[in-house]
Amino acid sequence: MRSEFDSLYDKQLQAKLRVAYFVVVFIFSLLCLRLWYLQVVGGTHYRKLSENNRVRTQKIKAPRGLILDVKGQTLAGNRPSFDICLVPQDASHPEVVLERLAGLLDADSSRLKKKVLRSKDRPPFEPIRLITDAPRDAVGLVLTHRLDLPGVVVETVPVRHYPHDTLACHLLGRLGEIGSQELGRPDFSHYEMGAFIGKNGVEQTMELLLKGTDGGYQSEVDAAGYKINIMGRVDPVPAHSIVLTIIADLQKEAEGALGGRPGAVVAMDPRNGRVLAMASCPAFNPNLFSRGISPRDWDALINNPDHPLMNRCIQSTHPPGSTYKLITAVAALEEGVVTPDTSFSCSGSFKCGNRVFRCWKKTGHGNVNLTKGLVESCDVYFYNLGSLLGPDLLAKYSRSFGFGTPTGIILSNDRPGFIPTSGWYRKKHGIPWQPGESLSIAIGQGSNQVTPLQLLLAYAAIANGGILYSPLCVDKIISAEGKTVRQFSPTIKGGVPLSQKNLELLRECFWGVVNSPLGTGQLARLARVDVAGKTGTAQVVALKGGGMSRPKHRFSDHSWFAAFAPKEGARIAVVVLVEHGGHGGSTAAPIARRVLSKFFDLEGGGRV
Amino acid sequence: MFDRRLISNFDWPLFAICLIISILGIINLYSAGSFSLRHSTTPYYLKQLYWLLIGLGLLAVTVSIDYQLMARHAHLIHGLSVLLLFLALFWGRPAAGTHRWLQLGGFSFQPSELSKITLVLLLSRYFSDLTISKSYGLRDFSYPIFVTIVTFVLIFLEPDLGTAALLVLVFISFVFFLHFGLRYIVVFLVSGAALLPIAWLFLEEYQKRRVFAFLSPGKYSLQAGYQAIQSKIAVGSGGVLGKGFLCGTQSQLRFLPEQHTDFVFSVLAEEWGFVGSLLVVLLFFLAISKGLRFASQSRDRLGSLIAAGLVLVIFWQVLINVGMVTGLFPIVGIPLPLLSYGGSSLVTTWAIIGILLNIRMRKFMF
Repeated sequence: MRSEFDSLYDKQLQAKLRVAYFVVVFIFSLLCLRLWYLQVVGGTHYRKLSENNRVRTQKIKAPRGLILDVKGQTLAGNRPSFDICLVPQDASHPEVVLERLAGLLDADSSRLKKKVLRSKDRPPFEPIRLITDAPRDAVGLVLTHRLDLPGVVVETVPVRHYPHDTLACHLLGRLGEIGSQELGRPDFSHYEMGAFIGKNGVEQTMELLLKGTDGGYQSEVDAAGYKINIMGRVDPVPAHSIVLTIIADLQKEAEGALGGRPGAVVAMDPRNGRVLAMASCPAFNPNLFSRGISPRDWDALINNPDHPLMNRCIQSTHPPGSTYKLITAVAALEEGVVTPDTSFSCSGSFKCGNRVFRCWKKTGHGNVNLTKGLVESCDVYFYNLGSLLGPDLLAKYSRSFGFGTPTGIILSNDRPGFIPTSGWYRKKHGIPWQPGESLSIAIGQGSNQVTPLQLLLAYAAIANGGILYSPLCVDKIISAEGKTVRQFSPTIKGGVPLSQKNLELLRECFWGVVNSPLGTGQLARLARVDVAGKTGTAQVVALKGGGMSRPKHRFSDHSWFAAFAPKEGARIAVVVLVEHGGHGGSTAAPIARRVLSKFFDLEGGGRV
Repeated sequence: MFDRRLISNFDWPLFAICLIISILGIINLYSAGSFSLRHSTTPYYLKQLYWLLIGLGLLAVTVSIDYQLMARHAHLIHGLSVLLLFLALFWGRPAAGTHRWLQLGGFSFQPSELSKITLVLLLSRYFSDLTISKSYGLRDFSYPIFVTIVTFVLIFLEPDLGTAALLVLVFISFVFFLHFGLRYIVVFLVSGAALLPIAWLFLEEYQKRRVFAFLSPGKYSLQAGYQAIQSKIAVGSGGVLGKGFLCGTQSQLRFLPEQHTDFVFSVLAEEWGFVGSLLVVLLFFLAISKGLRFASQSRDRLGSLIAAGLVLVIFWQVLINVGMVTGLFPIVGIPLPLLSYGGSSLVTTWAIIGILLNIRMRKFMF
């Protein structure tokens, strides 16, 4: 129904359409005016800007976040690197310029020319890196002669620098060029090809936090490429810094104590799981990687039979040797298989089936109870326990102490190790579990495989009253101004099944290992603090055939020592592994002593 | 169905104008897309030509179907649009983190382009149905506002800030053509202004940067400001007569990002100068005025509203894109109709032209 309002509206609509027409006319006139302004009025000015593209955008790389020890000492920082580059856009005769440059710096001009040729397909205003990390003198020469070198520029680039070279290299990690797989990840969408990212260690796990935001500026340049005028600048945003839990001075002592022998030292605060030192030997210098490692250096590292890139604390697994007797003892006590006073007789050997298993003391220990068994590390005592417990009970207790599972530390390559069970044995060998195997397992030989860090967690649990912590190696994340952005707190992995009474007993036994006259770990004794610990010697299985070509020491057993101090309310626990070090008591224990001593020195001096 | 009268009322001038713009676009793309010859197999201008033919085919369809028939199913058609937008968000083929495309067979198209037409159809249908007793009350707006917001949100989430904002602009300017008391217009503008800070909260970082870069390109240069500055240089350096076909230094040396899509006009302005850019702007003006003329000559309110709405869609896109390229607006991803490379945009624009011609053709039918 057409009402009065309807026809009124229709008339209004016509009027509105006319208004719209005029609005369109007006707006389009404005557009034309704008075009006039840019093209006719500003034509010459913009023409000039466009010639040789006089406006350049330059990226300012953001410095990488720092990694500090718990006291604030810089372990990984940045240093400036001066790169001498060529901007093809500005070099009208690149051949001539390169010759001149080569002559000035006493460099090989053909190498430089090759680099330029290789970058032919890149946009002409992108600088080509001719010489990276140029020494100050070279930079000075280039800058003084810039008029003769049109197109050559010096760029300052921040480069990752580790001021203490190899110190804590495994924990810190190293950089490397980003790979195609990483580029595909959604959280790496800000990264470009050729970017350097953390490849392992904390550098890798904290990569996204350590990377800052790049800035840049736009400048007007002259015909030779030098900046006339900065049109705008965005400052790079520095990244967050990571504060680790380790103490640099303690780390240094631990690495020094290993003295170049392949092995690992890892120390933690048993009250909260904080890692105080993490040393792995041999080490490598991460500075080699900061701008791309040379093939020669890389080959040297990869082909080194001692695998310097491996973090032995978390990556290398070995049978724990007698340090495993902790587990056997716990299992026996808690299962009620023995009491603290139950004793067995050790004559130096133990018969099982038709095999004879020997004790390390050929003459035997006589009557052995638990305390004596641990203090003097009597194998026969534990053979008895082993045959009474069997592999599956031992496996159950091993797992409750964290063996066979990753520790939970945030670094990659955290190996879980291995704990054998009867089911596994049957599947692998096709025959049921052989009772003799239980004996080997009980004294930490055979198929058990643990990492030094796993062993440390187990002993730390004894030290702190039964709590299994996840190791914590990052204390906090701070902003570039130093404000705490995130504080990490201890994470509990679980509780070990150990009654308070038995726990205290075990602590006394471990004290005895170090302090009593017949203890195997006396070389770890300290005068001012009660040290408790356990030695271990892991057998090295000889290679079939060809083994004779190994140097003599590679036949030696691995040397273990686990310790914590003081006996009550321990503030530090440490595990030392020396590969092919021989007896735990002789090689590993003194190293632990050095580390513990240093720790208490630092504590006393208020530096902990 | 194909009345003699219909064909005689087919507005050849509008058709010719748009065809000329499209062909200029293809020629321009030959230059703007030349850098890509190394990477893709089919050059951009050729692909655009194929899309043009498809667009013309679609034109034939949209011209033949009476617009009244289309409008009768406007709600359904827009519902389909919304559904496609949903699908694009969740099942679409992601491209560089955005979910704007749907794949059908060998083709991928953007449902957001389609929604421009269907929303206008829906709004026109709704408001032409409303019998007018007095002024519209705000209540009458609840349904259209709801539909527009839903469409806006779906497009915004893709994320396609440009097209989403375009829809809102079209809606608000469309309101002008309705029977509306002045106070309601004021209320609308005020509430629109109030929504801006809220919308700001939802903008992504890079979008915020673009706005900053626009407000002071010197201060926030780099990716955002860089495009703006390079575009102005390209346009300005064209001078009066331009540098000549294929001789634009900015485009040939690839200083201008997105030169085959959002910044095609820069290439044209650089190579053909003031003369060329003025010509193209004039052609757009002519097409838009024609559209408005069709709106006023339409035989019913429905046709007027549809024509007005579709003209608004074209108008805003041209204004924003040319404005952006010449440094008047911040950088948003709005293509220039008929000139920017892009199948969905080209085909949709020709569909719009088709509907406009449609309305014009039937002005005498009762």
